[in-house]
Amino acid sequence: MKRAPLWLLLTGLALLPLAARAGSDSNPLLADPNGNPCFEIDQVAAQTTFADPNNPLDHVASCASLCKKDGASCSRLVKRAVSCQMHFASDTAVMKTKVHCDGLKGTDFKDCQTPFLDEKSAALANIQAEQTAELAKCNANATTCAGNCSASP
Amino acid sequence: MRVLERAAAAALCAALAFAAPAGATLGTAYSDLVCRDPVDVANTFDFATSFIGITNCQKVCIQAFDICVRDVKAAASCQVAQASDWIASDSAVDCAGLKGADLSTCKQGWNLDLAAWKSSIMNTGNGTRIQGLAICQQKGNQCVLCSGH
Repeated sequence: MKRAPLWLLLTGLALLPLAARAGSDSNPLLADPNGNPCFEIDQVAAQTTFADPNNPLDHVASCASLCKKDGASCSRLVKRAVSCQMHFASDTAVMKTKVHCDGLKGTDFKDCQTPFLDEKSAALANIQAEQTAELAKCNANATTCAGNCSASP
Repeated sequence: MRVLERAAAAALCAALAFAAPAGATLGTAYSDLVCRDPVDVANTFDFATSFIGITNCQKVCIQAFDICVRDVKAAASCQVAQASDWIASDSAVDCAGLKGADLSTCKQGWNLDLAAWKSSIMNTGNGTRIQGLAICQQKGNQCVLCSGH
């Protein structure tokens, strides 16, 4: 078996960092390119139970107040998810720019950075839209919950 | 009956070490934890070799480390906040209609549950927050070796 020539090995080693940087879709911060350190915004309202018809909440005197508090809790968690996702979108753009646009200047740098900034803007717009929708669900659940109170003795 | 239910819930809490709180609570507010586990968050990150070969790689490593730390702390804080809201709702339902010593005992039981739950997250010895931060530190330490490559 023939051994690889030294020059080929050295060239391969020199290209390793570039290979690690290959693919602007990959996030330099994460193990999984599709990973995300945040929880999903739409998980919050989906995991709430206070609007469920069989919830024992509707048998207590303070039911209406509890529904309001649980609705507020839901909204706070949605906002935490939003905050995390927004940071994540910004961090991703910054880190992708640092890795993939390193050493570039002027127009070359701007051309390199643009897709990452566009990606961030699109992500932020989606997050905003999702926030509005999920906060509405928290409020709707609180209203449903309160409605269940009045239906019970 | 309520006492028996609470005793069973407390036993289940202890058995699960608060890993699955939904199984040990009345679930009046939530069916499951929404916030992510701080250790899982830290394990999502992998930047140990991401910045080899780029300008000021060590500085970028520190920025990446800071992001990891911020997200781990946010996850822990989120879990504590949800635990507090969840227990507050459950205890209000469970202790409704009780008075005097019964009410105190009931509330005390839920407060103990919450304290144990919080401790599993925030304990400075072995809480999930400190475990997550240690993972970030480990990844940061590996990352700053970038200039030696």
